[in-house]
Amino acid sequence: MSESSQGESPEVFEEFRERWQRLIEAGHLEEAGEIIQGALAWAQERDDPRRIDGAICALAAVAIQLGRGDGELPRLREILLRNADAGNCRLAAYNISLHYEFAHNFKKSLFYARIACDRALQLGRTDWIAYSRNQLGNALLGQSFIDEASLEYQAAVELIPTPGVWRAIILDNLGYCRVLQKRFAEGYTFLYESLRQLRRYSAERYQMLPHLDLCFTHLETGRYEHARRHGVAAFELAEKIGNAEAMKNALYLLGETANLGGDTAKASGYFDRLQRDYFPDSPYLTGFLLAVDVRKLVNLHA
Amino acid sequence: MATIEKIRQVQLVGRKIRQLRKEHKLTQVELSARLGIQQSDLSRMEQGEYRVSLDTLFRILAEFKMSIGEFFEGVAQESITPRDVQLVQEFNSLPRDAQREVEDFIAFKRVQIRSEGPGELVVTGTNGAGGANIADRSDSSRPSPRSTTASGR
Repeated sequence: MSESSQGESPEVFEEFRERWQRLIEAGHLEEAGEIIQGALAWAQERDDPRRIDGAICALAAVAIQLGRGDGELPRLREILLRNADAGNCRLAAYNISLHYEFAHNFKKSLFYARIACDRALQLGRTDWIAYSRNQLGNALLGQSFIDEASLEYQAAVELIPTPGVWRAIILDNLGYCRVLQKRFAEGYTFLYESLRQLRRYSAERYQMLPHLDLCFTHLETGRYEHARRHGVAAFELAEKIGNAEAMKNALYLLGETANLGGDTAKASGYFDRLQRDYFPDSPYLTGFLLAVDVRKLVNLHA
Repeated sequence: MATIEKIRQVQLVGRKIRQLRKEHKLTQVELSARLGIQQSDLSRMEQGEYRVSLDTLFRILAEFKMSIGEFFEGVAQESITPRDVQLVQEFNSLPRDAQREVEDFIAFKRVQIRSEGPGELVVTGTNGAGGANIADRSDSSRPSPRSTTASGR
């Protein structure tokens, strides 16, 4: 690395970083990706390996969130194994964990989340520790270790006392756990607080998450009209950003809400759409869901 | 609010998965490999301790090519048809008292069929929603058939 690049890199690269982080927080992932590409080119021009790795990790994070993470794993593993910089190692491990979470391989996700957490603890960065513990929670919750997951989320949320998008996302996770633990009052508090913060910071992309969980919570507590309202909001947001998993969950919850509320025709409509759009080879699905309550089998965060 | 009582026990579903797996002569390792999940996760699911995504749940159903009747033996003999849905809608349109009468009659018919004759019936009490549980005196050691009331919905 040249002297000049060392001199100018902190400011310029950190400007890039601040811009892409703001865009990610607002849910504008495609735009964030463009900024990171610019940062990567900048770092490559200056032959700055630490910042190249940092930009590659950030690009991978965006690609994974957008469901295009398969090609990113080799580069992330290389950064992790090279072990040149603890911060980048943490980021690489965290993103690999995220990738496996989205692939529903929660055991591998847990393995890499532990590495990310260890690195964050070594570095003593509170925010990184919080994100890693949230990720540990996700990997545990995906395996239905609800009590263990809620401990991780609780620890994570305590590490980020200031309102913001990431605290809101962790609150959503913790709220969902509380609902599964039948601690509904706490669940409602966390989920509504999550939604409030995400609205306050205009993070529309992520509002879908507490809407889905609030739909489920109202369903569990027999408040079907509230459940329907949140289910519709979740579905509309999921449709807008093209999140198929969330659309499936929303259609299922809306069908369940209508069914439990006594409107079988409407329930059939939602379940039919779920079957037609996502499970075309399962013609029995509508009838099954009308007859069998699978709420206790389904994990909306898996 | 009037609704049909759905079959909700997660343990029942887990037990049913185990039963179907054994009927298909599959080990947990074999079935979990076919479903793309870990054997330990399938084991916990069979014990009613594991929640899964909708994708995984429906993969399991697809694996056994299950109809409602196969999944819940004795609950229904065939998959839900449009006629079944119509029946549910008609049931829901009845006043609450009339729904209870229908439920009690269904419970009565179940006991009657189970005992292969009219049998001697006794009303053992009411559940929380006021529906009658009917037990067959000829086999009092068995639990009374569950009344299909609108409780808890």
